Amino acid sequence: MKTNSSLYRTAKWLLIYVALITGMFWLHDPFKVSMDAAESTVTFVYQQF
Amino acid sequence: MLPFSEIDFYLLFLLVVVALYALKGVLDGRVSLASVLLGISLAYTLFYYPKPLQILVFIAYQCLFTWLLLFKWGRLHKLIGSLLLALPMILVKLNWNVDDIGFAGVSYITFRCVQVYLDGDLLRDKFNFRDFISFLIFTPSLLAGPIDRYERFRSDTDMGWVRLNRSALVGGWEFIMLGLLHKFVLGTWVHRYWLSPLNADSTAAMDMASNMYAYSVYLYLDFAGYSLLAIGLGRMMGVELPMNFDKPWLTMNPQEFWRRWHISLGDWLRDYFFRPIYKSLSGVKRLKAWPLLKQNVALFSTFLLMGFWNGPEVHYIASGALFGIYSAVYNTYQFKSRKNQWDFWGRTPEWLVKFTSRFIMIQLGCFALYIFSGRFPYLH
Repeated sequence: MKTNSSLYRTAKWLLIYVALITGMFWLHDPFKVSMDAAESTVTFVYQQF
Repeated sequence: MLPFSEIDFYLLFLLVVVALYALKGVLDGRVSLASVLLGISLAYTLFYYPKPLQILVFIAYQCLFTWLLLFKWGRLHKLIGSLLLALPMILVKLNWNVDDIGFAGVSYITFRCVQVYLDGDLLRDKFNFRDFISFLIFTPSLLAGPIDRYERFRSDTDMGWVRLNRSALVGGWEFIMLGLLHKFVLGTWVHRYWLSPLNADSTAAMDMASNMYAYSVYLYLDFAGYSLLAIGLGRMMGVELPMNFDKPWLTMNPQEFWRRWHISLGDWLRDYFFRPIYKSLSGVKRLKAWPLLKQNVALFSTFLLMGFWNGPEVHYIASGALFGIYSAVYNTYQFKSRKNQWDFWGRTPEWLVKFTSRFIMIQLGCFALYIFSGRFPYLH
């Protein structure tokens, strides 16, 4: 399958969205996401620099 | 609220992007995109970013000294000028009153300031404070890059509202989705189920190997994820930030590694540290007959500086030195191969050469990142 074909692109993005939605629900539980900024524990490794 | 770390940030910038595209037709011809981007970045920095006062003072310092260095103190040695601009960052790295003067992302802004100063001869006519400040505090790249260049940033903002188009919106959205996948799905998974359960103090070979690979994969997913998010939001706002990663696992030698891993830092170090050092060494008569030595000294110093930039801790410096040694050894091999017409690989099939080179480079790269992580038990 050519990487610039529409079929490849559709399959790729379908896979990305499925992985993203499944992963977000599994690892982060969006129903419990707090809107309180102080409760965020997300950091990026390189932000320390 | 740090960029990309909270749902509030995503909601806020969703509104910002929607407003930008909705009001584009009204604002075009009345207000420049550059002014609007400066307003957005200033508002975010002042009202949402941690330590806004420190950033304001820092920006004022950089504006004053960049202006003085570009327009009044033109004869000052570039090294002294660069040190003057880097002084706040150096003090923060040395833990001098960090609470009073430090803030997240100080290094990345400093890199951008030094770039404007060192490219001053090319940029002097194009310099203005609005674009300079906008360039320094552009929200998507404020926290951790990618390290953009002033003239490239300006070429985007100068194009104006035409930059906000369907392609930028769709492209930016795709980068953001990929960034979320890298950071919040794959990176979180690796951190939670592979890296965190490992004992970093164990000196058993298997534990150390697992720590080495787990940290390297996690660092890649975390930082590439951040970079993709920054690039995505930048595109949606009309600025095409440079790519920071390009399949680093395909690297075949140490020089290529820095063209694939943290590319914007590798390019910055090459242009504003390696080249000036090599140029100054080339002026030393005694070294005229030692081109290889000059190259290796410049390479090693560049990576050692990168280690110090990360911080004065032993693991950062050792990691930088290790990358320097890799580059110097490979450079020596290349130099000698060319000079003596060595053919190390002989008739080895190309696929095997590529596979072996990539396999070796992955081990070397992961080991240097393991040292960098501070988890290497012999450097605690």
